[in-house]
Amino acid sequence: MKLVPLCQILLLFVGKLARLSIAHVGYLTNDSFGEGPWKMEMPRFSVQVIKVGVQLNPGTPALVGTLSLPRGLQKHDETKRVWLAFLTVEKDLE
Amino acid sequence: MKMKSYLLMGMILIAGAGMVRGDENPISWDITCEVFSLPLSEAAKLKRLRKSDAEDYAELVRRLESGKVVQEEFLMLRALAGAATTVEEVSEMIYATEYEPPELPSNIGDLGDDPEKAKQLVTPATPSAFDTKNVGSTMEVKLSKWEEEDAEIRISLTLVNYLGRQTWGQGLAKGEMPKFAVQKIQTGAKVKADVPELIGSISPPEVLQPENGERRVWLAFVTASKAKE
Repeated sequence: MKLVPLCQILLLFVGKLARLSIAHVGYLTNDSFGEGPWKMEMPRFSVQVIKVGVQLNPGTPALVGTLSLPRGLQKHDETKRVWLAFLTVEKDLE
Repeated sequence: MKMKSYLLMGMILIAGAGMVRGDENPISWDITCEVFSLPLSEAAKLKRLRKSDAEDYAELVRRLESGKVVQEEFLMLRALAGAATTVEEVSEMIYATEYEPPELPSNIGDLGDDPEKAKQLVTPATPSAFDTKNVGSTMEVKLSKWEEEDAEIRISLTLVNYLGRQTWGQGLAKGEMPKFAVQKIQTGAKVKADVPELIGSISPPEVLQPENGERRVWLAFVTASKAKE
């Protein structure tokens, strides 16, 4: 079975305010427990989640927070990279 | 279907009330958490000078280029007053917490004179219960009170490292458990806008300290700024 990263965004508006939840999930590997025919495997996922409240101005990008890769998945020989998540809402022109 | 609609409407009303209650013109705040590490003796020397948190922060940033101070963590989120906010940068590790002991079936039939055959029927220790650990960085912030230039926050910062597996028992009764290093700080602070506040030390345990050289102290700072719209 091949698993691909899943990104889910939930946005709940109350006027200019919004509750925002972003989840980025990726499959990493399987961890095994036990031996022989009794061996069990459990998947390991990388999870990047941010749940915030933001005040929005249509058309203006708003920085909502960091959404970096977990430390164990960062490249060892490089400085940790920071992922920044921006949210932009546009008024529907129709 | 109706039930689902009611639930959805209820959630919208509750969430909306939480955001609007008590403030006609709510402000978004940027909460930034930075963790710096430095040798223990230098950390002690820095704190003995009894300077303000902002001055200590500026000094640590100044020393970053020298390489003696290292920035270990940078987490940021935008928060609205009254609402709980979270940022998670983790890998979810599912691990066995309980094992069933090895067993020999109660009825093994006729195995003849060879006792070795019976040994093959023994089931080894089998994992029977699992738990999940978030390995990585998690920050939770709640902005409880806010005024024009300051705010009160509750903050929880957790850094978890996976260290490997520990084996218990032997042979068929062998069970494995993971070992984690947990660095955690949970505190409340009154912060002024744009002024870094030291919330505490969050140093790693001995096993994650450098093998050679001095123990390192990790200092966690939080800076709250009014979001610039």
